[in-house]
Parts: sequence; C-alpha cells; structure tokens
Amino acid sequence: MCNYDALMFTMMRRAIFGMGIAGLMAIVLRIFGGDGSAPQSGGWREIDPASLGDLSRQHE
Amino acid sequence: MIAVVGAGLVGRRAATELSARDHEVVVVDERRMPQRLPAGVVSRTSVPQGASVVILATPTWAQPDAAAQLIENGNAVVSTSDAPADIRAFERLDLDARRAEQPLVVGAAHSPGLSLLVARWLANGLDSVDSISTASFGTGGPACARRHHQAIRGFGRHYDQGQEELCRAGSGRRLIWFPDPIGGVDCYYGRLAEPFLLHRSFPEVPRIRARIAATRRDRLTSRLPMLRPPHDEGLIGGCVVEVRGRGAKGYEHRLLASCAPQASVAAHTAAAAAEAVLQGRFDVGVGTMADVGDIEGTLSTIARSVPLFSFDGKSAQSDSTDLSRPARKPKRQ
Repeated sequence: MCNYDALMFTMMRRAIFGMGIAGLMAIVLRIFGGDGSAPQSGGWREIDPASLGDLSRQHE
Repeated sequence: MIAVVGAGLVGRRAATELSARDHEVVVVDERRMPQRLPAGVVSRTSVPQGASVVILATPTWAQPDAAAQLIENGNAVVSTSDAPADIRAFERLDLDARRAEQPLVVGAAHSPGLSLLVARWLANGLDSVDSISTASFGTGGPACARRHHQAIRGFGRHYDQGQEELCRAGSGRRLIWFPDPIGGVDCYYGRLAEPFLLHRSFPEVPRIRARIAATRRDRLTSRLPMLRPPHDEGLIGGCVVEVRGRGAKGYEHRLLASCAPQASVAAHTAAAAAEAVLQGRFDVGVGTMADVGDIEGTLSTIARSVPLFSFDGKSAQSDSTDLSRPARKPKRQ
C-alpha cells in the first residue's frame, strides 16, 4: 500500500512538473514566437492577362 | 487536326475552345450523341489517322492504355488524368514516346496542370526555391468527383528534403484562403499526382506539398462508396500555388491562384497544351505543363479565359495610417 502511495505521488509530481514545463514553454513561445503581425489588409487581386509580363519583370 | 477523346465536360469544352481558335477538331466518343458537340466539331468513333495531337479526356483508368496505343501509332498525346497510378503508368511510356519522337504531356488539367504552369512561372527569377505548395478546391464532372472521393483515403506522398515520404490522406490540415467566392477552406494531404509531377519538373526543390479541400463529411465517408451520385458539375473550383525561395530581393513568398469551374480550367489547360504541342513547345517524351517552352505565353493564353489572382498581403506594422492599433515592437533583424 505504501509502495502504491509512493508511486502515485511520484506520478503526480512528474505530471505537475511536465505541465509546468509545458506552460513555461507556451509562455515563452507566446511572447517571443510569431512572425510579426498577420496581414491586416491586401488580399487576392485579379491579374490582367496582359500584365503577366510586367509581373514577371517585377519578380525579377 | 486535333482529336479529343471523350465528350464529357472537359472534352466538349476543350473542343469548343480549340474550334474557336480555328483548329480542325474531331471529338472521339462512341457513347455521346453528336448534337451535344459544339458547332463545327466533327464526331467520330475512333481517332482519325491525320490527328497531330490527341487530347485524352476520358475517365482516368482508361487513359494509360489509350496513350500507349496512340504513341505506338505516332500521335502526340495530352492527358488530363490526375490519378497517381496513371501518372506512374505514363512515366513508363517515356521511352516509347522518345522512340516515336512524340511528346506525351501528362496531368494537363487544373490541378495538376495549370498549377504546374503557375509554379514554374512563380519560380522563374528566383535563385533557389525552397518550397512549393499547392491546394485545390472543387471538382469538375462526375469522374472528377469520384477521383476526389478516392483521393482522401489511403496514403499520399510528398517530398521533404528532396526525399519522397508517405503521408496519410486526410491528414496535414491547413486553412487555405482561396479567392472569393471560395474563401477559407480546410485542405488536407491526399492521394494526389501533383507531388510526383512537381518533383519531376523541380527535382532540386526540397519541400513539395499538395493538398486538397475536403469537408468533415468527405473525410468521414471516404472509406465508403459514394453515398449519392456525384453532381453533373462542381460549379466552382480553385487552386492556390505558393512558391517560397530566395531571389534578388531576399527571401520571397509568391502566391498565385485561379478561381473558375474545374472542368473549364482543365479544358482550357488541355487546349493550351495541345496548341503548345502543335507549335513544338514540348520536347519529345513525357513532360508536364511546367516543361512547356513558353511559360508566359501559355499562361497568358489560359489567363484570357481563366481568372488568375495574385496575393498582395500587407502587414499592419508597415501600415502607418492605421493608428487604432498600438505599434508592435519590430522583429530584430
């Protein structure tokens, strides 16, 4: 019985430790992660077929 | 003369398109009534001897055998099949096509097809390409809808670090924004031919992904037979192609999309491929739309009938006029 209690205690301690690490990582990623702000304007713009050449040159 | 085998949605529309461009077109399909064909297009039950190019617009399973026979007869072939097994079968015809000195254009539809052409156009001018991703939405005719149903079960393939890897169809969810009226749709990996074809045309690109739009019901019922007969035509379709790589301006992220009925786009792409074959813009042997000689000319031809969209995203932090939001700390370089 005593052995069972010790095992349960160890398991709980490890679970809490794991959750703590996960929480810390989540906080770090939330604060320092990401790639700037998501696009807030712009979007899909229909291309005039005649301007494909101009777009190619812009790419280059 | 151009022969179109199959008088389904794609076949009829490709014939109409080519006929409007003053080509002599023959539609080969013994099951269809001639009055369903556009005016000026002749109907036959077998491919005529004088056909310079043959467009295969039949259900996918019938195409590899037909292509083998046509190549043996000395015809150039444009295939609209998008089934991975068919693409593998076509690859085995490469030597035969080279011996016959004829091109065999595979996957000349919407996605794959136009998507490959767009990928090549976007990749042009980049010093190195790191990643190509495609996503498609919608279906064309009933045969296309059945293929879509099959594509969400089993295993697909994609490329990571240049190596082919297995991926479970229906996994890899990503929210993709298509042009209006489609909008945001969840897309998943599938049993698709696009990764093979992209890898064939871009062997140096380490990361290649292809996804297909699907609903929860599509994913849930993919292992069952189709619960109801497919619609005559999926009304709207779309394809988004994303190319990332390093160019003269630094790391670039280029996106282009199409938005039109799948069957119409497939027909316009097949028609453009057939014209390109007639003009000698494909090398002999197996090729894809990304291997056409004049990328911009071919894309312009298709873009006259298919609306194309470029994505111009603009970050809030670079928008100095918007003062309602607090400025975020710029990312350290």
